[in-house]
Amino acid sequence: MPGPIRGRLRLVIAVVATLAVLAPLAWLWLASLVPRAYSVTGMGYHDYGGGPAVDHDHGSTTRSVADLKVDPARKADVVVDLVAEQKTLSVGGKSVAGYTLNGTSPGPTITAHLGQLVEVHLRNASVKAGVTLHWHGYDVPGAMDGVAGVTQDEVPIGGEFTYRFVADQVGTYWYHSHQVSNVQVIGGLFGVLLVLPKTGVSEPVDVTATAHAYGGMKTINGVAGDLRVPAKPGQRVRVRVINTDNGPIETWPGGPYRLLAIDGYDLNAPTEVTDHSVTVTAGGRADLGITMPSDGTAVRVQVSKGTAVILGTGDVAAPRSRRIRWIC
Amino acid sequence: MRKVYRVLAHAVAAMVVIQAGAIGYGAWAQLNWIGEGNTLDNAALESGAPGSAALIFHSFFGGGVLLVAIALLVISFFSKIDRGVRWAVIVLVATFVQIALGVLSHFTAVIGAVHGAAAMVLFGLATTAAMRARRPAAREETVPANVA
Repeated sequence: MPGPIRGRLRLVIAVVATLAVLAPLAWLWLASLVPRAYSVTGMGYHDYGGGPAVDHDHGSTTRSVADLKVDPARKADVVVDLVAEQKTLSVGGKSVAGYTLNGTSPGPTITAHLGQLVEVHLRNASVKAGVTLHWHGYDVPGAMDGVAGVTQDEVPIGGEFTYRFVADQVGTYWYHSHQVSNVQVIGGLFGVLLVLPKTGVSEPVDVTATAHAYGGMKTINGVAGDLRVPAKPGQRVRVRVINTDNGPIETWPGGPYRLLAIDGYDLNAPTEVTDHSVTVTAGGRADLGITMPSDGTAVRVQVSKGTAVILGTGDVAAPRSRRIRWIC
Repeated sequence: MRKVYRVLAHAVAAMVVIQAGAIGYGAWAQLNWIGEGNTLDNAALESGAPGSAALIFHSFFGGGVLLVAIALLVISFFSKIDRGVRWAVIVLVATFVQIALGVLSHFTAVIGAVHGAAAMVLFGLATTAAMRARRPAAREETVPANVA
């Protein structure tokens, strides 16, 4: 084959080979792109649960999410003012970039009794990316869910938003920002939501142990190291372990205990557990019921291997643990 | 084209070196963190414990090596390098295998040992491809036999 034609053919083959390599890659990349904005209501399909299909699409049956709220005329029982700030936190002697609510991380604990109306005024003082508050695991009206981009716009600096919902579930819950949450929640923009039964809990000692790692440094209730809680011999203690991190942790007391509630739901007649730990998933909560030993010794409740709640006075060694193996 | 080919092949080797450095830093950052008395568990890893960023970088940068290896292959089509396409394919396959080993290491750490050793192999293959591209392409003209 003459030189120039051979060279031309070689070039054509090279171009075809290049297209064969790059075209599938280009197609895969294009197929992976998502639209800039899309409507939640436009996804999926209508599920009529097996009944006759009822046409919901036409007519005046659309409602704005903003209309899904508690009766504005009802007066609130628990009113809380929260101011969100972006600042440097000092945790265990280290400086960590973070966020605060009313100056602290975790933010204030919101406590209500069953049936009360909770009203939270959120103001954003300095969080650059905007902020919302989401009530993790709690059933609230749609407009109060705090999901930026879905139920509301994020609250910009200088802006405000009022959340109102009825506390009709008893249990250990928490609230956190749902705007750029992968940064803000890790940075400490969260707090505890406690809903007690109308007559309160039966345990005389009620402890909240919020586990959070700031830059990898493990803390309980925002403080590095162990948490000491006074408790008398024979007293019944409820330890509410809340995992606010992005990965699971184990919790186990050094002695028998009962798992009173998991993720905000009470267990029915829980039995005594020994030598096993409870896996608290990311965002999960475990209420542990412990009876203090009558001989006055302290009880150590490990919240992951790094931190512990020490009930009572005196020192006590870290208990060994064995994980519960779930057989699926 | 020959120069671009050599640069890309050397780039694959250089990126393997950077990958090794990232893992070295990540491993020691974590060991030192634990040595200072801190706890490293799933929650701590997800919250930015020292070393986490280096490990994440290692995952993404591996994809970058793959892109450079693909670019090397495309350039090899247009370069008149003796066995240039062949060696570009070898480097690309080795890169792919190395990434696959990295993914599989999540299941069994023993595969991680192979992943570590294979990095040396990939470095060698990429450098060999670059060095072999130094020789000038064989000229195709024939010299006239009669020289009067």
